Amino acid sequence: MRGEDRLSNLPLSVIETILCLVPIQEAGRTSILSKEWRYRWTKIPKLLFEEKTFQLSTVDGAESSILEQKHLEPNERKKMDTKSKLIYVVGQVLLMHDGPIHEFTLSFLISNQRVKIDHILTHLSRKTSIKKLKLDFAYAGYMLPSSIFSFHQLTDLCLIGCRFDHQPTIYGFGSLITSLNLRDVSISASTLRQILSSCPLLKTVFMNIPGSYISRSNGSLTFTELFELFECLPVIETLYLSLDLIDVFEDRVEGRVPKELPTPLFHLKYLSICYVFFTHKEELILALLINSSPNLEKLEVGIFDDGLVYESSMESSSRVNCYPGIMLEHLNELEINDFVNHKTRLDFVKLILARSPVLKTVRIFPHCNYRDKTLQISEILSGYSRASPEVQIIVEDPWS
Amino acid sequence: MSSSSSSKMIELRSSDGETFHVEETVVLQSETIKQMIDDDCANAAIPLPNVTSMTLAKVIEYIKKHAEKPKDDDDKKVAEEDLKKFDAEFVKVDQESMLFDLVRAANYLNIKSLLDLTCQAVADSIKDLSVEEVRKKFNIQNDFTPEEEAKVRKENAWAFD
Repeated sequence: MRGEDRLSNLPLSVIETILCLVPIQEAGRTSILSKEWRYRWTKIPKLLFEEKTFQLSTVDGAESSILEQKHLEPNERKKMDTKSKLIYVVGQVLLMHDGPIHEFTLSFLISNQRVKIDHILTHLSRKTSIKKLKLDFAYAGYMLPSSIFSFHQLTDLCLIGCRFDHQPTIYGFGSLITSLNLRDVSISASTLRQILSSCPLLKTVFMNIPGSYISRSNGSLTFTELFELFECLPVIETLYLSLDLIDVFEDRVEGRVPKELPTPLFHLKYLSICYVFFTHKEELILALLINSSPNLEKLEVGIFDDGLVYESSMESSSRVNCYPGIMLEHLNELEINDFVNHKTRLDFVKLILARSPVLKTVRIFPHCNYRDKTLQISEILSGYSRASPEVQIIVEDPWS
Repeated sequence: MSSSSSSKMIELRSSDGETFHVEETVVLQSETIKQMIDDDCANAAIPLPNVTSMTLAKVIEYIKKHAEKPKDDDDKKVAEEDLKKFDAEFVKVDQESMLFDLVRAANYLNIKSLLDLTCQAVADSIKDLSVEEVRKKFNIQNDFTPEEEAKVRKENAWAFD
């Protein structure tokens, strides 16, 4: 007697969940399990196409070739390279797919498939069911077609290695977006602002846009433009910001950087800032953000250092003036990566320790060239006075 | 069973009539039971006609573990690691039928994290198998004629290269 068919007897929604968890080709191959399974894979709501997990040849490949000799025509697809094959598969899957798609991910380093991706996006933009969209083209600089602005039901959008080349007119993403991730994206300052202001519900924003990718006639983002961006994020809770996006050539900024934003970021709980050189300018931005985030719980600073310390012409004593009445009433956790025991960095930790009454953990990861200074850094920091009685300072060598 | 806290206890009855007492705070991870409690249907033992005592015991083990709260931030990372290990061990069941019983129970009780975990385990067990191996493993009756199968194969040729 044959045993019970446990897999086929699972509730349909569960089978769909399982099919979403196997590589798309394996899901497609379930079509020949039995008649009952033929179209099951075509209903899965989550489609994921990734170069790194994509199978160029499959376990059933050899097996099918015997059958193909009898029933199928010579196979052109076998000659395709991985990238062309991936795009071909996306097309085939979308052709057969039947039902709502909630999540769509396409991730690969494109070469000459741009036009085909345009078509795929145009097709997808007509599906009103898509809530999560991720396009990851590494650093390829894929020019987004205007159909990217037609996904009106999105809640999560992640764009990596893309370019916006649109005049910001009526464009914007749907107002339902709560999570936006822009990494290595070429964009103009005004388009960036247009996009952010069209998404009033943004809770999580990840912006890692190299300054050189921000197209302006005269350099990258100015301070004023940066402040305007923060004004577009009234309910932001998690913000990841790369300071690399700010104009490095803009110097005399002292008078033009306000101490606080006109509207504080009341909901901001987690702030992660990377590419910090601790120049005076950057400390002004750090101070501005900290001063404007009264409910901050976790602060993460990624110092960008090659181990050499960039000396500033500023006297470090005047730096503390950046943060006059600063008080971090809710800060629990401070984490600093690539730490170097230079005065500017030490002073920053000292300040946070002195002004955070409920701080619990300070985690410091020394820069790889300063590994041997781990103990020394630890000793210096433990000598600082602290507002929180129960703070624990951990200096850890991340490479050990 | 001794209860150290003052949390209310909820009584669950498995399909084979065994009763289990679980703290309300723990059992709330099940959306289905939460709904019953909200609707005031949990005054007597809650009957779970689709879940055997063996499966229910496993489910309770899971939700109890997942209800543990780390004391402070410092324990958080340790607790996360610990939970990951627990989850990995949890789905290593002796009999495959138990894994499927857990999938069904998680679906019925609507415990999302347990459903995700067990579905992932089923998906992992299918991964890298040929179609014939999947059929054999799960006793799936191939009711296609060879011609029909070849036709479907052709229809989805992209999946078989």
